[in-house]
Amino acid sequence: MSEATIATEEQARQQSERFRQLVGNLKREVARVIVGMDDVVENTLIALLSGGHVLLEGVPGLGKTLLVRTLSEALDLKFARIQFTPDLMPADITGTMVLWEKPTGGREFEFQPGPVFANVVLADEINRATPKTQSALLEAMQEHSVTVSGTSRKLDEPFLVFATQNPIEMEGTYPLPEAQLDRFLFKVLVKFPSLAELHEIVNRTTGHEVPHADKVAGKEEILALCEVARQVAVAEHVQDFALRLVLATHPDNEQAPDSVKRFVRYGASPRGGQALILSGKVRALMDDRFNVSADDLRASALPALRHRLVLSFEGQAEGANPDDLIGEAIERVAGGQQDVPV
Amino acid sequence: MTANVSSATALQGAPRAIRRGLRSVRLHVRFLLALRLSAAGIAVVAAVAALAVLMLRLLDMWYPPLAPEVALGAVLILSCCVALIWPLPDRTIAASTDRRLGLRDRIGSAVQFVRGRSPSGMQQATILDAVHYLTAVRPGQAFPIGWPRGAKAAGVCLFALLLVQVLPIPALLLSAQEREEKAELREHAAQIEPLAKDLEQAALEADDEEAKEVARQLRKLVQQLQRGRLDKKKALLGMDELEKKLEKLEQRLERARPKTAGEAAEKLRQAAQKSVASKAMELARQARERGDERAAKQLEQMAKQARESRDASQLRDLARQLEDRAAELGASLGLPPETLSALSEFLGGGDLELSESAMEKLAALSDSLSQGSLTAADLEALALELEELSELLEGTDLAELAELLAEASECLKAGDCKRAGSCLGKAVGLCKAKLAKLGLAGACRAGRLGLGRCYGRRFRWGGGGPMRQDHIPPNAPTTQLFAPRQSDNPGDLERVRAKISPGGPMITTTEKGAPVKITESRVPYYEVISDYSKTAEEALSKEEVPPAYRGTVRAYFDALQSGAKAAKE
Repeated sequence: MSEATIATEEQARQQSERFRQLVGNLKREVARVIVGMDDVVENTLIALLSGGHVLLEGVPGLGKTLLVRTLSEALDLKFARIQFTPDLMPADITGTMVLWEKPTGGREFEFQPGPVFANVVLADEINRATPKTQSALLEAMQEHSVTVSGTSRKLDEPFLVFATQNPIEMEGTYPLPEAQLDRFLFKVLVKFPSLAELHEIVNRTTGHEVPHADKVAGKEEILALCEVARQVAVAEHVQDFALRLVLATHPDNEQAPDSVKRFVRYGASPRGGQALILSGKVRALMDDRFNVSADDLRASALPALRHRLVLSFEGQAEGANPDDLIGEAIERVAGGQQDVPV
Repeated sequence: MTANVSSATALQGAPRAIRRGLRSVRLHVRFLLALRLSAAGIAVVAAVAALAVLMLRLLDMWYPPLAPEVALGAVLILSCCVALIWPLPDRTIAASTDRRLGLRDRIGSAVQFVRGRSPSGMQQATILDAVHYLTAVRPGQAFPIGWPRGAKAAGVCLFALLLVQVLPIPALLLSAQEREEKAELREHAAQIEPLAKDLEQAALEADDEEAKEVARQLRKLVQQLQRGRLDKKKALLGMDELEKKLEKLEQRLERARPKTAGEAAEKLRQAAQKSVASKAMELARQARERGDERAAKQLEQMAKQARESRDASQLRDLARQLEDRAAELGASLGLPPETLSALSEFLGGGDLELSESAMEKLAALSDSLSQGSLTAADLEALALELEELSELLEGTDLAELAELLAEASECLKAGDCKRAGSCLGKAVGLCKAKLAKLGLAGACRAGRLGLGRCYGRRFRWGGGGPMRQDHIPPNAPTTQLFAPRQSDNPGDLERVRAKISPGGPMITTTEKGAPVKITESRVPYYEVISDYSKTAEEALSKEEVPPAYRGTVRAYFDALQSGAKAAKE
């Protein structure tokens, strides 16, 4: 039994309390800089505490980059930003071997780490880089390691990639391949702020003082809380619900709704199920619970699954919305749950 | 450390607490399930029953009167049984409770975790959370008791069933034949109604509970007939049942009648004959003494008529005339001469109202005795008459009355008029009670006969029906139904065996020939045959005659028609 293992109910309550306290502090600090975007902030935090990567999609100027920067500020983590452009090369991300002269004489190759060697990596406008460059992140995101010149190097934990992309300017972009998308825990849609939020944004950013977030937690604490979240209990019927939901996004599954059968080419991968359960565990702790509920899964279903559905040609032609398809799949799976007939 | 110990204790008791909580929720759910199943079942059964009853009533077909109610009861029992055995595992109950109370799968998860051997810290916390919620929450909060789904439908269907059963079928939906039947039933009701009133009155006077109940049922039948709530079959069944009850009641009352009443009545009649004659002669003597020869002759004539009379009612008329004469002459007659004849009539089962008026007179005599308004001679004569009357009734079932009369006589002889009056009063009361019983028996008889008349009329064409033909001897020969055959002995009664349906043989009875001697017939058959043929045709058109026999019936009446033409010519 590791040191972080929670063995008693008392420990569970203490850890849960600590978890909620940290999340509360984080939210408070983020809210000092970021106006509104409650859902986005919450999903980002969930992904952070689940140890997953986030793809933020929204038009420019909505505060995606600011959100990620604020989070890294509040968490006392090493932050790196990579502006993805068509001419960006993989080595610009991972780092490269450079030849240099030793003080003692002679030359040798030494690894020069790239920006990926940080705790929080902001991949800004990730869809503007070529697939070759995008794929440089594949190993880093999945294995938390980078292989350069045949040598694999572990990345510092926690390692989180926050990628952004613009859904409007599609010219000259390279849509992320399914394998890449699948590695993101969440795809979070950043919506345009309301009038009141806009007022607040303008007030905060055009004044004398620019707001900053204070550090509320360090690397070790984040890792410990991630470990706590992973120990949240999941009942069999709840896990069954999550996996049925994943299966219901597959057009060849019996439980799939008609719209999924019609508009989806490939459904969510097993990583979708993992994302649902992991995010559900974090949500449970945030809600002062020790068990994952179906409601947690419902709340996480859209950000966790929307980027994992591959629409068919008909779906794309009809403009099918993955969120609607997932909503129907949820309804179908929830309808099949056991209930007393009264 | 203390917290850990208490937590461990709570964890140990958690499985039991969870089971207990789920058990109470399950019980509540079963109750609600029974309600829901009952509502749905009642809605379906009541709807089907309402339609079935409506169809059966429109088609005038019989159905068991309580069949819909029995079916509804069976549905209720079945619903409860199904609710009791409906599979409701812990997992389902817990998941439903979680959903309804917004507990976010706390209980459902705990039910699973509690089965594990060594639950983790998070699982332990979940289990204790579930225990906390299960003990704090009442089942009614998760599954509130209310009108189950389908309750409205069940109510509407039940109401429809009630209406279909209770309300008379509108005339628009009835055939001409059914309307005719209803009218006929109302006519019967009008005939039975006065009988029912009489019976009710007689039952009240006799203070007979059984008779009161029968009278109440008869009134109810009359009401139902008047309101058209009974069809022909139900009306006949009701009449039959009531007739049997009346017969039984009448038999009981008849058993109470004095066994030697006929003998006592004859003795009393003779005594009345003697008394009226002697009093008439006495009055004739007094009239002659006064010089009223004409009155004396009339009174002698009355005495002669009294001696020759063999009828108590005639004697009573003479006694009344005698009383009038005595009043004119200012003479006293002692015991009212009408008393003996009235008592004779009473015992012989004659007119009860007249007997009652005689009792009234006896009661008046009793009052006179109590007031001491009679002379010594009158009292002496009265004492002798009472003694004689008492002797007449000795040895009969009216011994009690005889004793009272004898006692009254003794009292008069002893000069105790008051006590004599009291004894006479008791005698009058006794007679009145017996009169009431007889009155009730008479009312029963009248009611039974009235019902029987209605009952018989319903079955003018009653092949196979429950027509009562007790006058046909059970050993009468059988013959084929509707077979026109010249009977050797007109008026003889025959028993006929008929098979009117493939369901099996049915015994029916009918008469062959006229029930009276042919010499007494006053209407030639050819004068009525056309009416009877017409009625037969109507019966054929109304399908009252089985199809297999229609040809035979037509042939029978055609043969009679041709015979009638020949007879006319």
